[in-house]
Amino acid sequence: MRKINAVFFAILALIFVLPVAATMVFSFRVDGGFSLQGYADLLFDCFVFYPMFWNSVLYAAAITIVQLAVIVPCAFGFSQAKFRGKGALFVFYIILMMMPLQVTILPNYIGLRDMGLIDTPWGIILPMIFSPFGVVVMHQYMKNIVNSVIEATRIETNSIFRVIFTGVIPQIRICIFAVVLFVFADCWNMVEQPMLFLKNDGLKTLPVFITNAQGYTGEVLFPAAVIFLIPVLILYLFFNENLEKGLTLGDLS
Amino acid sequence: MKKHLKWNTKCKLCFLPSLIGTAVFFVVPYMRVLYYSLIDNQFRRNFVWFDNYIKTLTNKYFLLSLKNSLLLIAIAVPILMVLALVISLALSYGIKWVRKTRFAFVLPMVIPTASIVLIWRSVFADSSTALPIYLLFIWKNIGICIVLLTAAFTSIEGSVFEAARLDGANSLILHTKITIPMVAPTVFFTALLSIVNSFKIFKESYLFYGTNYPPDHSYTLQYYMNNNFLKLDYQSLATSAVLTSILVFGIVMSGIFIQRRFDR
Amino acid sequence: MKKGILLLAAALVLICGCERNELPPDIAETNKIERVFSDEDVIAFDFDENGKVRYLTFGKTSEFEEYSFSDGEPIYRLRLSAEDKSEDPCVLDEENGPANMCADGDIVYYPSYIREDHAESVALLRYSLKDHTKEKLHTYRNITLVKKMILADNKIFMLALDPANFGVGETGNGYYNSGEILTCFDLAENTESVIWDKGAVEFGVWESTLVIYAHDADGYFFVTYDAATGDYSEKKRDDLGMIFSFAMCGEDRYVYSAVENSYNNSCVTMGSLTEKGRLDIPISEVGAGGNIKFSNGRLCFIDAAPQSATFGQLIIADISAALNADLSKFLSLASTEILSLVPGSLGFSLVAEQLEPEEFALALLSQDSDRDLFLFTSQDGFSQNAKNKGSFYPLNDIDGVEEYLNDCFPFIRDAMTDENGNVWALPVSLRVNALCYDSETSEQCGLNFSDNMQPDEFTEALLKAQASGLTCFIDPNYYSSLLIDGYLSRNTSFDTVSFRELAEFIKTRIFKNEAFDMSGGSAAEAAFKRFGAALADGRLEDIAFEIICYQSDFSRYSEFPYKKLAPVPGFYGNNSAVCTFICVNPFAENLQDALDYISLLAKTLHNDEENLCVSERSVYETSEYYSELKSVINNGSIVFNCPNEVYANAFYDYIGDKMTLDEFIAEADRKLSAYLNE
Repeated sequence: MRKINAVFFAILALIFVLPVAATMVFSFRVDGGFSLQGYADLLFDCFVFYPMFWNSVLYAAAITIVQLAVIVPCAFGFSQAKFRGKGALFVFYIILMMMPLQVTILPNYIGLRDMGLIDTPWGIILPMIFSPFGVVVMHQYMKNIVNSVIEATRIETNSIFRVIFTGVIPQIRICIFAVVLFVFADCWNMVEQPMLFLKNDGLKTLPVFITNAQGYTGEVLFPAAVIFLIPVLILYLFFNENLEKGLTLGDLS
Repeated sequence: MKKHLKWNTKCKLCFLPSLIGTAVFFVVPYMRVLYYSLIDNQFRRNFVWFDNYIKTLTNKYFLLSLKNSLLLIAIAVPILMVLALVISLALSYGIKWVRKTRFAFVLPMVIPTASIVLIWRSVFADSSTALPIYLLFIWKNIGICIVLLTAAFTSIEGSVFEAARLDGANSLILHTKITIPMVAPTVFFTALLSIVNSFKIFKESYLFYGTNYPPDHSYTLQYYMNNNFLKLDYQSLATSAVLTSILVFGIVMSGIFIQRRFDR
Repeated sequence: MKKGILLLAAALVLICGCERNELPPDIAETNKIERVFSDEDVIAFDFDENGKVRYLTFGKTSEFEEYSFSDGEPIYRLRLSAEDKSEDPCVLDEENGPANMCADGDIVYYPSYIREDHAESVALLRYSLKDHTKEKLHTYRNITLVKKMILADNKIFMLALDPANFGVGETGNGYYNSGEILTCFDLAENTESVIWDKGAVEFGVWESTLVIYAHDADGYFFVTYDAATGDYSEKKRDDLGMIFSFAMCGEDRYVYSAVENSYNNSCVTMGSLTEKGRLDIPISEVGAGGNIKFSNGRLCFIDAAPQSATFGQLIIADISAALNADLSKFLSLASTEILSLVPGSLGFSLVAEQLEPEEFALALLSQDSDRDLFLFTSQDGFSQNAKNKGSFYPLNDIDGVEEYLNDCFPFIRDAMTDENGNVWALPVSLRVNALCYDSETSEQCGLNFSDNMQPDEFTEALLKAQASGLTCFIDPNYYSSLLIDGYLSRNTSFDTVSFRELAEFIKTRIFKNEAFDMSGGSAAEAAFKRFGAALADGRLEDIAFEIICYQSDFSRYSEFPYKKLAPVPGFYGNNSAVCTFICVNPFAENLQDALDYISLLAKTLHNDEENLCVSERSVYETSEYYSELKSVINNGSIVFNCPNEVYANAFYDYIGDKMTLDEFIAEADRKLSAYLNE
């Protein structure tokens, strides 16, 4: 019985991997034969590829790191502070998280333009730092911190930063890894914002390149897609071990 | 004498950076959208209050797009959840090498849209139903669901099971009384996340059909909004956005309500 | 007391009101360009150090023969002459006429093409006007064609073709490396060096600084080179596109001509290395010519405009007024069309940018105050909505607009007025489709083109014409799109009997018709080849008939006696017209300047003899051809119709037999209904 399940499972996994494998296979396929020409075209002839790649890395990394600094205290506050309307505030965050992009893109554009941030990296980074998604996820994980540790730390110090740093973060270390992974993957896939908020091609990101890949000489779409996979995969593999150790999510309420 | 802030106040202050940022970049734009939905056009700015809402709610294309979006949520999300649960269970409690295959399910999450659409189009040439989009949605989002669910499953300490077994509980009770309650919050959260992501599938759908006017069965809210944007009809866009957010609010509230009842 | 203040206020208001009816003086000035002509053909020229021009010409009088033979070899007798012809001309004997020269007092330097050691190369020669002696200074081994030559700091700088450099390096933005490099020959030290070999496009000199415009992997840029010290500056990015000619006219200012930025090739553009503004100077004779030079407020070049009466002559134009224009202030124009359709800046500093539809919609909806003007056409999907939303500044009260519109065709006037009577846009140009046929040839072959010709008669005529060996071509895609446009101007749904008939007609009588079959060896293909050849050679008189729509085509055909115009045969009797118009952003930063520009534009377009929008052109009285044109346009209609996208894919599937007629109609109608009713 177990064996049948395992086989069935293996097939399922294979189906999921198939499109990814196909992408990788196509990246080596030029004119029906095996060739590295696509990669050569991409890495040597597509001069816009490198800046776009590093822009993607830079934006995603900046957003992820700064976002952590914002959402950890916020989630901590959600778990510790007591005031009326806390639940409502959280529901509010959830609703904001669920807004489709088309809704906010024009007002965001107007806001950024008034602040003079169009065509600068900050126009991409700043709004994403405050994305409600991170707050919601972190809050769920934060629910499971052990209050006794907090109490203990509070005895020693009244500085909230110390409490968070020494008391809370060690406990939720694994959750931080998970959040980093989600947020990074989310930012890594951004297409609309770079296309509309950035005018200078040198500031745009890799997904924009891939969407417009037909316009470049040579078969660069699939090699670019493969390279696109790599950073997030590395991040995932890096955190995989830790994730296995377990994450608990608290109640939604 | 230095006045120390109360602990509770300090905790409240923790919200500050997030609140300010969210207010500036999310709340203010939302208020703007709300304002735009109440005026007649971007340039003359006369208040017409609910006229726009009536126009949108009676527009058959809005209703069609609403229906399609709801169908996607009502059908694809449960299937996604069930599939994710089954796979997560297998991954959490299965034999070791099966666990290694978790990697395979996470891969779809990171593929860029443009490349996957090409492959999808060659596989699913027939576009008489919205099946390709549903499958694409499930395929893409299974990864994040699995990560969250397996994490939840594996975090249930083995000792809890041991203790229950010692008490003489059998498999069924084990699962209903222990596993499900402990995993339920994660399941709800994952479902919510999937609903959020169902709105994000627009880009894939757009590239798949290659047109602003896909077949009727795939015409979702985002198409409606995007087309109105390109036609400079920001009012329809704004009203449909506000209506969508009301819908979302409803879903979230009912989810919380169900969970509260479930906790009892 | 109160009365006095009121009177004073009224007086002030009146004064302020009056002030704005005339253009600011500097703008009127920059549009007046005085010219001086050489009255003889010139092949090379240069300013000398006193700002006078010295040039090379063919001898025209009996004293000098155009070319003569000596020892069996042809020699050109060229005359070196000064602008004011006050000196005795000197004669230069050369095997080929050099197209470049540098003048330095009594000395003239020029390149000559020679064969040395079985290789083609360029030699630098020095001619003394005093003793009439020639001396070869240097042979360049690596270049074969000299494009431009400037003398500065006792060095000769040349932009020349190096065949080894051809095609090397990055391409993009319409740029392809045609192999030019910038070399320097130091007259004092008799040494040659290469200044720039990486994608040089053009260069100019101001005092002893060279300004080089070149292209690299990231696009176009400027870099300056100090001839005295040999230092290069940092690269400064600026995209002028692929330019034909360039000259520095100030420390920071330059003048250039390019196909991308010139409306009807009617101007050269002044720009600045430090400011963003661009000023169009109405000099149309530069055309695609290569060499322009500047000195003392005067721009000198050889007339290269094909239809010009002074073609080949030297022109010196006074642009000193334009030099004072403030380029830091400029009007910003956003366009969905290519920039060569943007009307000239008319003395204002105008910077135009082409935007994608999403960016355009974003700019409009977000009320960007950086853009002052918008240019788009009735074919753009959002035009219909833009018209009715009151998005733009109403132009009713702008001086010159009312008069211009009153003289335009009624359907244009209607299209420019919204439901509240506000004029929301100014029509800039019109494309109207008409059939232009040669009445003599058509009569001979028995083709009966007339105003009421039906589409099936038309396809029959096409077959007949091809069989008779006439030169003609009708693009099936274009013709069918015209027929569909005609349908859409009267209907809002595809699900009608008349559309079915139309679709079947298009499929069977156009795409499956021999007359449109371009496969090898067919009569249609032969006719097409003849057509292409006739166009390339400019033999418009040989073309039996074609569908034309541009202002320039109508003008060109008007010169031939037997050409007649008829409406394009369609089912609905009216001719689809596409109008390009310009609107003012009500939130513009430079609103008043933008409105002044519109006023000047309206007056200019009103008097433009080439403008098809105007119905009361004097030229319409002059010939039957023109009265036919007027009636064709009169029958026109501007349809703010749905984007092509709505039916194009399904249409081509149907034509290619991948879809049945019913499926095509269902699909197209579905999309059209969605587009109209969303």
